[in-house]
Amino acid sequence: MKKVISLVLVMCLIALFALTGCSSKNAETPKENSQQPSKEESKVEFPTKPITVIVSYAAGGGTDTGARILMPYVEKELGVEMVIANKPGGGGWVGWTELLNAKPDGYTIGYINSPNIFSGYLNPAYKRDATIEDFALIANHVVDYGAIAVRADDKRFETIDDLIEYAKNHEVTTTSTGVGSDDHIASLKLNDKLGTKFVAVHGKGAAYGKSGVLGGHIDAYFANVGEVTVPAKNGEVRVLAVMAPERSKFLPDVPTLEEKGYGKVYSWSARGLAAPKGVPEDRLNIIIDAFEKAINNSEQVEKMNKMGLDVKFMKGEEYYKFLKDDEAGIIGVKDLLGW
Amino acid sequence: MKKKLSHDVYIGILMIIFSVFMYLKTGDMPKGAATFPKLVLTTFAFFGFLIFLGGMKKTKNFNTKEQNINLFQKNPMSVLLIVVIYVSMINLLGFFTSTSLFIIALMLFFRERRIKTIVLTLLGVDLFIYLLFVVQLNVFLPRGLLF
Amino acid sequence: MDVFTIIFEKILNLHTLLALLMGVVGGMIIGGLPGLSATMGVALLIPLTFGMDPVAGLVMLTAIYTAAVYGGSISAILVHTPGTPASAATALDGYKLTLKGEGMKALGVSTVSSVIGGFFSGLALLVLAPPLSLISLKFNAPEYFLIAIFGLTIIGSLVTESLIKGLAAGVLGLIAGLVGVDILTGYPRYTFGLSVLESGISLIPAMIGLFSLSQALMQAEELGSTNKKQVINELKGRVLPKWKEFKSIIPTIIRSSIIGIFVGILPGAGGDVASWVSLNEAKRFSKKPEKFGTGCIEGIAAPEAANNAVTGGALIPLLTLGIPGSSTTAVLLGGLIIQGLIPGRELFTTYANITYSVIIGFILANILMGVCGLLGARYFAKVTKVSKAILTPIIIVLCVVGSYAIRNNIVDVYLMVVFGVIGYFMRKTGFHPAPVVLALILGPIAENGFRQSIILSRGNMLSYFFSRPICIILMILIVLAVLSPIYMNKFKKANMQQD
Repeated sequence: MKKVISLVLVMCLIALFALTGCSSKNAETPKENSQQPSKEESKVEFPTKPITVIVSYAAGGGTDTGARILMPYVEKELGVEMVIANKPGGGGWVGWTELLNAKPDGYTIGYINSPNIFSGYLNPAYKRDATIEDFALIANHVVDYGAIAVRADDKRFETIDDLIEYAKNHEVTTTSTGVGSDDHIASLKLNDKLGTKFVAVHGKGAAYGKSGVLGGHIDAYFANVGEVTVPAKNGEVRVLAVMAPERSKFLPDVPTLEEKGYGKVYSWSARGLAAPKGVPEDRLNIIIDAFEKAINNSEQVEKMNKMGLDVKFMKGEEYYKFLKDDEAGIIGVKDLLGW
Repeated sequence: MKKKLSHDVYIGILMIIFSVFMYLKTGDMPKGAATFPKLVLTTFAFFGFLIFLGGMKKTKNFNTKEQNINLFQKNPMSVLLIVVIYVSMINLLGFFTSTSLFIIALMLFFRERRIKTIVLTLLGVDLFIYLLFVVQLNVFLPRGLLF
Repeated sequence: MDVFTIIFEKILNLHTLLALLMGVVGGMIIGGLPGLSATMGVALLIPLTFGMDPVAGLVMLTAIYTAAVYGGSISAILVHTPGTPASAATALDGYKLTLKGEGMKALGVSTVSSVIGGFFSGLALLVLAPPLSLISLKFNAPEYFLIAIFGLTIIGSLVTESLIKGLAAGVLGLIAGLVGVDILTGYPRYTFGLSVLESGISLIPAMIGLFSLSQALMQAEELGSTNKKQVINELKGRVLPKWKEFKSIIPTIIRSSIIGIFVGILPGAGGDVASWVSLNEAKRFSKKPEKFGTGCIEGIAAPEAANNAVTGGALIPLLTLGIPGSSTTAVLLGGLIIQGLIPGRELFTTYANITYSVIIGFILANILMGVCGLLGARYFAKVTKVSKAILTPIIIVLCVVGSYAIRNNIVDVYLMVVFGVIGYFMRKTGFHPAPVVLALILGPIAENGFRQSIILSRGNMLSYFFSRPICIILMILIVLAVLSPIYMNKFKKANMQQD
């Protein structure tokens, strides 16, 4: 069945390419019959036209892929098309600014990624006045907790205790995907609580950090569970600890920092959905209900797990509190960040 | 009449002014972030100075070949003006409307008088972009008042 | 034998072959249009592969990748509009040949070189992937810093008129590269309050502006003087290069393919870097370096072989380590994972059938791309026959839509126009726009590499650099690159005196 569908798609594409190729030369007059859907009906009917989902990162990235997996399930619930619009740039804030400026009619929603969204306005250099309070939260989709790993043949650090003891007296370089990234903030939290001397080597993109650790140039791999599970299975890295309230189901043998006695040091990167403030309550509720069903759909969960990502549905107060905790964590290390 | 200065003189001065302006901005930057810009801008100003000197020399030697170069020719500047108007209209009128107007304007400017050719080109381009970018690649082209 | 039959079954079915053909043709279209780079093509078509058979889907994506890199050169050669950043270097000699009426030959050389480069990289991927992937791990910040510096030395040989102006143009590119959030401090430099600028000046709008919009403005100049058709109309001759010509570029193609594969393997550098580096090396090894930039076929063969060789090279660390070797393969990673194929050893053991089928499909894609290119060259070349009144508006519109589509952002269109104006005046006053593009690519790599090295070396920069063998090799290469033009000049003068 799958094959038939994709074959039809393939054929259509070829026809399209052929058509576009010809039309550029011959320019036949097309008969445009783009009939607009009938105008807005009574307000209870929602949604009646496609909903735009702003993804603040480039197509093909982690957020984008996750969104493209989830949206078909949301479409099934809402009965309209969910159109993904990639608006990358500004560490996500290009898309988020656009989301905030969109008409609050429920037809424009977007992914919000924490902690990126916080570092974008907590850092005074950016001079932004928008905060998390300006968004109407819909639901959380994915939580990817932080993990600390080292190269598999690194004899110096067999356990997390080795690493932390060593780091108390020596500078240990760590990977980071930028100032204010969850990896960076995790290393700062450890420095703050345990007196370690982790020094982040910021690099563009996740590839730099991973190749730096595998090549032995950088000591510790501060990443997320989703990023270390496969390399750990391949025997390339040894995961020492996860920074979560409980062990990860993907890495059941790896202890949490908390159970090792290093206190409640949590770190995560999470992504969920939000709309601009001002969306009518009944519409927002329709969207939230649809996402609740879609995110909890077992088929969807399985697909996300296959990518090493943990699905965690949260809404309302719970989601808000979760995000505020994250924000508070960053405010706590503001001095270390020099903000 | 006074001898015309070589355009290199102006370019040199422009480069130096630009460097100084950008250099002043490094004042707000944290230490690590400012070092490389300072280095690069100093180099740029230095090259500006060299080009300025070279320009003065050229002016003295009166290079006729270069004197004939007119930097602001009418035709390219008109095309540029049409492009600038086009680009600034996109967000207002929408992509397809402004593109159609632009194609008509530019083709007329290029002395294309056959209406059929203009119309066919216009429809061909619009259709091609619509099918490839909007339908196939899901690119959201700006919509305006009309489309 | 058994493995082979499975692999052939997987490839030689209607479904996969259709996907292959579609990838190649679609890739060439996407690549040929300014602004639609290979990365975008792959990213936007990944959702389409969700429902496809893994082999068919991945073969289509890799085919798009290599065909787009090739397609970008067609427009670079014919209308001085590089379709992808990797084909900017090709525009220099390619367009000169088109002006001479030898556009067909240029297309032929480009096709042959691209196919050979891509084919070699496919072979490397097939046979040497695991050992070669280890090389990518040997490179880190210090090496990237030195590679960037090495690349910047090319500016010296790129310019023909005035060395000072060439270097100044390079520095302008470095300045443009400063814009955006400084990755090591998180400070937004020269963004003037615009969020869009925080991720830096996008390379593609800058390149399209400098190369194509400025070209369109140059064309407008000739408008008043003569209204008759241009001399370019002469488009005759064969597409395939003559055997003698082919023989003369074989060394260049092989050298460039090797450079391309290696640059591809490195996570920090892609086709754009490889094409410039190999152009420079071709020039250095050439007996007539002064011919470069005036329309010589080596000037096409070098970047073309290299940028397609990058594609296979970049797939090596992706498949073996899950570390993408270029921005396009970073997107491909998503496509792999969606299919349940997690990069790593398993790809070459448990999923070997799929993996090797995809690799062989990739090699086939390169060959098919050559066939399509050679068959189509005659028709592509017709573009130059279209009157300027029609072509110029179309090119400008494509520049606009291409710049916009990169990030769905109008600011990139404004940037494109600004760079177009800068490019126009630069060309009028004896500056060359190519160093700007080159420095815009390499500047950020150099700066970040240097500052990351400071952290990694823990204060002992010199001994850190000299303790790394690859660094020492690169430093020697840089010294040679700086000194060789001087040496060559002396050598030439001595030769002339003898004559």
